[in-house]
Amino acid sequence: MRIRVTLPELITTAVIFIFAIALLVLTRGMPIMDEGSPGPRFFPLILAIAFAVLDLLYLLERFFSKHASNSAIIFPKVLKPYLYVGSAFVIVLLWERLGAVPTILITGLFQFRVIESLSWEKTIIASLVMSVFTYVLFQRVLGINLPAGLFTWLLVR
Amino acid sequence: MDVFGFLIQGFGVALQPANLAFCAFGVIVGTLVGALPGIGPTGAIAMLLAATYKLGPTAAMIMLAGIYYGTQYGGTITAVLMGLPGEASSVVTIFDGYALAKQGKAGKALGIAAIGSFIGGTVGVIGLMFLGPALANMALKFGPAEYFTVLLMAFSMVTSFAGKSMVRGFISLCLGVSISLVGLDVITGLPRFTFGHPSLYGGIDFLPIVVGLFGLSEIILNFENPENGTLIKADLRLSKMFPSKSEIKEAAGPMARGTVIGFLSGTLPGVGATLASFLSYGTEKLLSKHPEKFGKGSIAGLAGPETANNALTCGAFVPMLSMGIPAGAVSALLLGALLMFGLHPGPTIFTEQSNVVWGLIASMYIGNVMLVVINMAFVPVLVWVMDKIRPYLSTVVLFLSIFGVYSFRGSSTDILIMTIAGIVGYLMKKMDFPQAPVILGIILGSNIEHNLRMALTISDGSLDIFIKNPLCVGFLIATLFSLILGIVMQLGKGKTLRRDDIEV
Repeated sequence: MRIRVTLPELITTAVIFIFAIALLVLTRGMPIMDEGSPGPRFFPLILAIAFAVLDLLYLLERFFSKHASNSAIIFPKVLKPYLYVGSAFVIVLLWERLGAVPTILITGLFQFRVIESLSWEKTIIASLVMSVFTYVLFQRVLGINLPAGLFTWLLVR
Repeated sequence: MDVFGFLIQGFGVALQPANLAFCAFGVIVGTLVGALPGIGPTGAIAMLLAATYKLGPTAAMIMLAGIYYGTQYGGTITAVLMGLPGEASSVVTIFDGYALAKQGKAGKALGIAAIGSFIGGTVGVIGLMFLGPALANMALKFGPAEYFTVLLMAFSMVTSFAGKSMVRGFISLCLGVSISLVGLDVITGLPRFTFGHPSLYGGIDFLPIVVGLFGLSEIILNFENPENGTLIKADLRLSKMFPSKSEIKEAAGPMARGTVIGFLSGTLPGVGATLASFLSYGTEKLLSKHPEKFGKGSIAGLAGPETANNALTCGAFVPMLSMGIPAGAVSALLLGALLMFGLHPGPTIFTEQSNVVWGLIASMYIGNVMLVVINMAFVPVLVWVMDKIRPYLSTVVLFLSIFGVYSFRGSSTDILIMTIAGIVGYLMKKMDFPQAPVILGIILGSNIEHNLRMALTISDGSLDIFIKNPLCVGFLIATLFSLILGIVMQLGKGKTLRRDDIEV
């Protein structure tokens, strides 16, 4: 019999098991039953048992499966997804510091040009339109207070 | 007030200019989302859910529901003209819709699908109007034991049929339920899993998680598998969309059956639009005098499933509104939307929140009329817009998600949670872990815990409370049945795979 459990699957099994243990450890001071009624640890205990049983079943399922898992390679082979996720993290970093609209303008330029491979002309127009549209919709129409970041002085004036 | 009185009140709400505009916006966005491969109704609703927070419950629900049933119409366009499923349930439409398009009958195919969708949607709303309040009256008799068992049934039904593996489905469900436990314990007030952070006392909000899990992850995955189908050039003028008398006659039976199959499937948690479409397709093929025509441009094979997936969207509102039981991922999000606005679906929502509920129901009649007009008269415009939007889609989705999530609580931490949830969602998809159970767990996890503990407190810790009550026994039998059916179906899939392996 050929064993088809892949490394990502083994890591998943370990993560689920740690999760089950964490449910028990993090509620260790709480009662399971409290004067005949279920206490705050009652449900986490059930969940921890369910996780442990399911984890074992998952491992067995993969262990005895005769089919190759398609999860042997879980990370993308192309660059675009990394750039996309990376720009999401950049937005998180810049959001409060630079302000919402300039952040969208800058990351928009990067996304449209590098990820979507649009021409410079289309990139600039699309980024500007996107920044203005989101500002008008969220700040003006919906009344959401977007962070102004570096440009707060402009609003204070 | 009777049903018709409430409906008139609902039309009064839905016909207000602002609500009409939100309904139109919802159905147009829904049609485009359905037509664009790569982003489904769950992702679209998740992203716009946050942005609707400022609109108030009535406008928000009207718009979100419009997106939901609009996607079912829109999915047809891509399926017929490109042979690609714009959203999952349109897979069946490809079989005969694309075949008809290749025969030069794309207009007819789209016309029949639009009419079928309209009939399914409209009759479905009538069903919702009568069945919803009736089921809500029944739910009035529910105590904690009944609620616990009905939630258990919903969990089991949704999870057993979600994804390729039941085990992975239940792991996803447990993950969602675990997330729902973060915060103060509802009964004792003790903080659980908060790590001493008062900001976690209120729990982890589901919004950034669902936007990441459903919206962002879909886009990340699309970069790896871009679907670049080519559009069939077709004459899509209005005059070419109307089916002939004989075609209408051929489609009438499948549409009627599709409505019943779709609506009933919608009321059952876990069935989903894709399965309902396949059920309708299978039924039509079984009943047809010319089953050999199926897959080669059969009118019945197109009309039945298209009607079924629209009727299903209305059916899904029945358990969601009357008992707070979502039938799948989209209705779980809509349930989350109601909870976000502080409304609690259940027996009293039809009377106590009549403006919201009946405004929503009335808007579905209006939305279906809008959709049939849009999908028959403006298909060329939709196709043009769809073609122009595609290169900008991933960026627009990211920006709208970020603004939407931020607008909910004004916290940039939520944007970080959303991004991380997007990565987790992507990994889950790669590892074949279904995401619908996670969302079900997050939204209903604390509810099932609360009802279980209440029921056991009433019975002094005895499990007899679940066995002595006939309703509970019924729900437990249904739970067991869905589990067995899920196992049988999974074993069946395994056998099919093994056969394929041998053939290969």
